[in-house]
Amino acid sequence: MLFNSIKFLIFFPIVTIGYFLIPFRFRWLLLLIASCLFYMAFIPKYILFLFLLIGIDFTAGIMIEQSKEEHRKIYLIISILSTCAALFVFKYFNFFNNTAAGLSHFLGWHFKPYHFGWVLPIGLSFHTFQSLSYVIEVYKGRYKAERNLGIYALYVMFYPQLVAGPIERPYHLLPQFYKEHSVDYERITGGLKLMAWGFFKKAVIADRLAIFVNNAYADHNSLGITYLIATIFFAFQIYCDFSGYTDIAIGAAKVMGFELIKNFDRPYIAKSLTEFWHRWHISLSTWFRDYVYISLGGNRTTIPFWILSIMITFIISGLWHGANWTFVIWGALNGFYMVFGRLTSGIRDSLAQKTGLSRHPMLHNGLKILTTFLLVCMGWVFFRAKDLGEAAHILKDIFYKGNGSIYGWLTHITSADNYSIIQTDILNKIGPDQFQFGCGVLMVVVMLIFEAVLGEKLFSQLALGWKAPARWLVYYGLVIAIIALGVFNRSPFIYFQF
Amino acid sequence: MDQTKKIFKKIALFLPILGLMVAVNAIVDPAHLYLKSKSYEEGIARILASGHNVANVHNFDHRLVQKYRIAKEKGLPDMIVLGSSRSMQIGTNIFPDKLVVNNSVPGGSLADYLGILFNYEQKGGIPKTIVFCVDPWVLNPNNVGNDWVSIKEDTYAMLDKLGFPSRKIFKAPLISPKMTNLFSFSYFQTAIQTVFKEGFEGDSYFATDKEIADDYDIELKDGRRSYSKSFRSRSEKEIEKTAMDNFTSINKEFYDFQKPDHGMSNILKKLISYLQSKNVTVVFYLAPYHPVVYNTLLSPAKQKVLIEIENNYRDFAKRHDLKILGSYDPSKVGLGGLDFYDDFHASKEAVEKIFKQGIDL
Repeated sequence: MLFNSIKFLIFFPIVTIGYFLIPFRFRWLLLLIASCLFYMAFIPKYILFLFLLIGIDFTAGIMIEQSKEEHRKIYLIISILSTCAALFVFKYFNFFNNTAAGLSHFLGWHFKPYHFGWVLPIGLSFHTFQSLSYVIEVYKGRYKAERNLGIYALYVMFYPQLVAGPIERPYHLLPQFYKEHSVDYERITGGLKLMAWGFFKKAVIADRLAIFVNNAYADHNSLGITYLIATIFFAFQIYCDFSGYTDIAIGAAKVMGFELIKNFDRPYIAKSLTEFWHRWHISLSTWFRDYVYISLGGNRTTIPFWILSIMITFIISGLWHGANWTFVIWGALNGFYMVFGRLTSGIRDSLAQKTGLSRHPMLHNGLKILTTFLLVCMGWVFFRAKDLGEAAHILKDIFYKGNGSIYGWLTHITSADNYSIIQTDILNKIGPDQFQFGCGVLMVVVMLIFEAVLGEKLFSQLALGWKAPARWLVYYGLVIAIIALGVFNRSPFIYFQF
Repeated sequence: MDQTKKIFKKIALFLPILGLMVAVNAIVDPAHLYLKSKSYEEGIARILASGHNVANVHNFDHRLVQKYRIAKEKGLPDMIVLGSSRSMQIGTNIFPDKLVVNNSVPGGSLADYLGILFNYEQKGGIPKTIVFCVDPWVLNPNNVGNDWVSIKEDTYAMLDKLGFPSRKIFKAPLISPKMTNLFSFSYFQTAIQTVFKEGFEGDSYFATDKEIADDYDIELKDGRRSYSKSFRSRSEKEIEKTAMDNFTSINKEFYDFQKPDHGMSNILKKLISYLQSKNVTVVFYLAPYHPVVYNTLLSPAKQKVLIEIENNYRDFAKRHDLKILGSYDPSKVGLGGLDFYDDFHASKEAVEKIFKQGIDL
């Protein structure tokens, strides 16, 4: 079930009202049933497979806790292997098999790959990581194994965050299922505000920008400047799509009394790549930090080993996003940025001092933000392209090829004819609804202003303490913008595919 | 309880926005579903039945137009065409000596064909020749859509006539699509755009004897659609781009579709036998796809399904001694990219070429 569907608009109030009407002891059961129905709205039969994984990890948790030291590791490994095996088969089998076939063909052997035809279960990468987090925390003794199978199933399947996170930790989410939540005006309206903000980001900005991005990336004859604009738009599309989803998830959970982990914190104001990854998809970044990066040695190791652990962590993170070489390169590129950033930080600082830039902090920070944003955008080209060939083609066109490229702009005097060609190419990609598209782009600015006003706070805290007319102006404006400017073609959220 | 009341009161403050949206949807009504319903379609039907073409029509219920048109016609045509927008280029251009009426409707399904035929039954009889455009989705129960619901009583009546009392196979949705559109944000956006472009009254259609216009489509008196000059005169590259764009957004009819549905095939079989018992000549027409769609965009699995469906229709035609024309595969009927308007629609000239490939009706 998509959040941006009529089904969800009916499902959510029914579940929420039912949740507060029934006695506390049955609430977890209602949420579990609701979560099952939510999941089954995609491909119903896959729920059996999810139950199997839940059963394995639930049993493993108890066995790890009850066993002697030498056996605990075995149960942990069984649990991790079975969870990862499922992920591997559904998500990576064809990728590795085709890569092996390509390699064997290159070497002159004939290996015909078997194609695994089952569709990837929705949200598999997310609930897999949430399950792994549970067994690892139990193994490390930081959390007691859950004894109620229903509550554990709800931890994995809690519908607001089932298909695209935020990836929760057991010590944060599980205890909340044992707390009784009452009807609270501030909390419920705060949750609803956050949901509305999420719908705004998804329908008004992300899906509107997607029209231009999809048209530009689908046309291999787009001009370099068009690809550049499309990539910048994609940066905001993916942010509004994913953070919009997260806002709806956090808001929906909040209405019922649950607090989910914050997943985004204005990532595009980051002054470095390290800061970017502290602000983007926080629940995944911290997962990789805690369970991969630190296990590999983290910061407390020699420089070569540190470089290795950073690169491994980011490459796995790339692969987590999708079984495609584009994601591997995207991950590796971000790893490289991190390594390069750390190794050159001393040189850059002294350069800033020598040029006097450090005496103008506003300008210095502005340059840092711009550089970080452009580096992130370069990574998004790999993230968005369908294969490495397309990514290379787009980067070449942006930087080098023709009058519409950066090189072209720097080395040629662009004539009126060229402007007209560029204008035609851009208008073609916008399509017929130019007014709505312009509004969509304007809404990016509106969103950035709101985020600047909010700072670290969530949208649910906006306008608290404002006078009623100002508050209602914002609320009505938001709802009218969604209705009048939103795109309602029920496009799925980008991160659902992972 | 106070908190709950307070929450519901706050939510109720948003109801005026919803009310305003519903009011705009009902009053502006860009697709003529509510206040302008029926009168718009009846007007179009009246002009067509009086022997004139209609220009500047948009967003109308094609099924209702067919229903009203059949009722308003003075007599029966010699030949009718039942199909989708893919068969809207068949008419007097191909059969100049016959009185032809093309009753095709966009996305035409078996449910539509039955409903339209029942209207002819009520008129006094079925025309002597029928060209059926057998699109791949005709035998796919998942793609009947909801448009046929406008003439659902006629469809059910024809099913009864054929001996299928069960209405399960063509199930009308519980909530009418017209009702859901009243609350549709997209419909509201279209309504607002309509007000800006045409004012509250809208831009009405008119009768014309022109057969082609520069910037708008014309519904011809024989039921064909005449696309605008600007649409027809696009370059091969533009056509290819439209084909790719359209196909990726509306290739739904290929989903959930492994093989022809048994129940639907049975109805088609009964319908053909019924028509043959009344001495009606039935011709199957397989409308081709744009080569880019057929060769590039269709995955091998989906292409296989298309081939299977085409073979299924060919076998069916052979068993029932029906003539069959065309092919989903454009190369089999000698068509290239320039012979198409877009992904699904062959040009008028291309369709004429297919029909001229040796058929005497």
